[in-house]
Amino acid sequence: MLSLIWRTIKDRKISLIAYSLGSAVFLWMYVAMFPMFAEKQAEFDKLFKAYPKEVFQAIGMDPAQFTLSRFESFVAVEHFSLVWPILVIILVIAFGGAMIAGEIEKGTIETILAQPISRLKIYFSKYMAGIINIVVFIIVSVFTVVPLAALHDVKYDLKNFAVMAVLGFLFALAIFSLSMLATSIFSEKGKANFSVGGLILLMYVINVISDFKESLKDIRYASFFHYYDFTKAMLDAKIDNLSIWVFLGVSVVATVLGAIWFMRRDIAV
Amino acid sequence: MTNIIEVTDLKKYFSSLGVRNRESIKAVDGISFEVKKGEVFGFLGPNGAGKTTTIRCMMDFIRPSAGGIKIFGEDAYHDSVSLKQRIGYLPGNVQLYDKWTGQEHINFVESLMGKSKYAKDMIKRFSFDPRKKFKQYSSGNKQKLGLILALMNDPELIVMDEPTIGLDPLLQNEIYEIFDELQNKGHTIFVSSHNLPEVERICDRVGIIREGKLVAIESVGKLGEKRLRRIVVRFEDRYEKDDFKFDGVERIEELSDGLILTVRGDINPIVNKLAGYKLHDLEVSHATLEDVFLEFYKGQ
Repeated sequence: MLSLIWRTIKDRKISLIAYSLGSAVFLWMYVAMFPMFAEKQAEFDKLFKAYPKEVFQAIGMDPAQFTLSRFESFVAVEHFSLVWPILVIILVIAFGGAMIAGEIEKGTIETILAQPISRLKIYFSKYMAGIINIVVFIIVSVFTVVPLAALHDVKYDLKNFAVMAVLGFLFALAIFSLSMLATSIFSEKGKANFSVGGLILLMYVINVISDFKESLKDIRYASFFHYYDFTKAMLDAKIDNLSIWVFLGVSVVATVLGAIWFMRRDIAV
Repeated sequence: MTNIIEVTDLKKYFSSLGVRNRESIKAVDGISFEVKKGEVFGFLGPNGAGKTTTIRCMMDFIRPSAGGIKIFGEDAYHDSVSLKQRIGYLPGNVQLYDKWTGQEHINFVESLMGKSKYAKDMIKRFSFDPRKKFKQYSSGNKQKLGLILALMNDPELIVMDEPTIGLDPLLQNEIYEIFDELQNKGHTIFVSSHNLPEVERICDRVGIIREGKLVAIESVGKLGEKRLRRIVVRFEDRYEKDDFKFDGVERIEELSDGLILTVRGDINPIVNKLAGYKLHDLEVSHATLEDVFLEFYKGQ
């Protein structure tokens, strides 16, 4: 099982390194920019306050909480509101799609299935490899702030970034678990990727619409982006219990369904 | 002799929604056969006959719609993990990991099956360079790697789907020699093929499958008795078509100056008859696999 986990990680190492470094470079850019923004904090805060509240709603942020007096606030809106989740979503969906559907599409799954290893172990080896990938990405993309902030003499609270890392992990885990379910169902990587990608896009749209239309505000509960409360994590170092339960619940249900489906399905390459 | 493989009334239907209905494709439709210990069993049939589907059921890649498969007396589905420790498998079209080297593939299989005593010998025997990446190998070398992975743990049962596809004649002979050696050691080989001479060369018995149904199980000797030949004869002078109508002549087609005879079994009566004629040309060839299949399929 360990060899299968290791081989899976090794096969995806290029994309993992690229995404992790890409995210770290974005973070570096924001860290480097922050002192300049902080110097002109009063002017920028005035400017941001003049923005229509819908601009902030579109990225799921409370305008009252946004201030350049804190690095966490700046990074939350610039990085963790959109860029970082997009990178996470693409990374985990691509990784998940390649796990089983990708192997069936290429025909390599027969090599594994012909070995004395159960389908359950194959599934959870792939799952573990995915979790390790997510953890590596989050460590690199979030905690790079430590050396970067020291380099640019920016003050920050590590606890807030640690909480953000936990929230990000739960968010990524839920999407990855859905992706593992899709990759167990489909025999083509593209179908697995597009089904989960489409679902996540739909969730984003639902979240935005629920913010704009009072009568539809309850539909936000159907969106991961409602539970991905990066402002609370970055500014207050807190995660709602409901967010934790929803992300973990979806992860468990999707993982179990994916495992059952993979164990029962026909695999013909 | 002990049965190594027992297939009983195996059925496999495919349908778009996974629900059996009138539109279901009957890939395998109630086949039964046994393969005995130490036997080389050929599974012969045209493309789409159900050979690969049967093999995939045996390897538990797909699950039967009905019927059962026992290998070494164990259920091919419930006991598939322990069985695969004893089975070497070569797929029809070897698809491995493009970015891995041959050695990495061997190491990977060793990590799951245990250290191989034979991998190095096989690499040498096949003159295979394990340092290259899979995508850099020729089709022949890809097939060699597939064979090494299938045989490196000295499995008691070898299941191969078209094992010599893409191989040059020298390597094909090498494989046949390996089969002979494995059989001498008491190993059992199940091989699918649509190559009749290959099946005749390596197999003890042959199962012939068509449209999901097993139409015959014959010893290779019996298969030879049913062998068809195609004789094209062109005459210098007049000839009597009726002279060639006797037992064993399956079909007579007329040419402008001769006949095409499809003959089953002994050709000596034809040769004797032709000795009485002055010939312009004579060509005797083995019938195609399709002709052999037709021979088995007629009346089915």
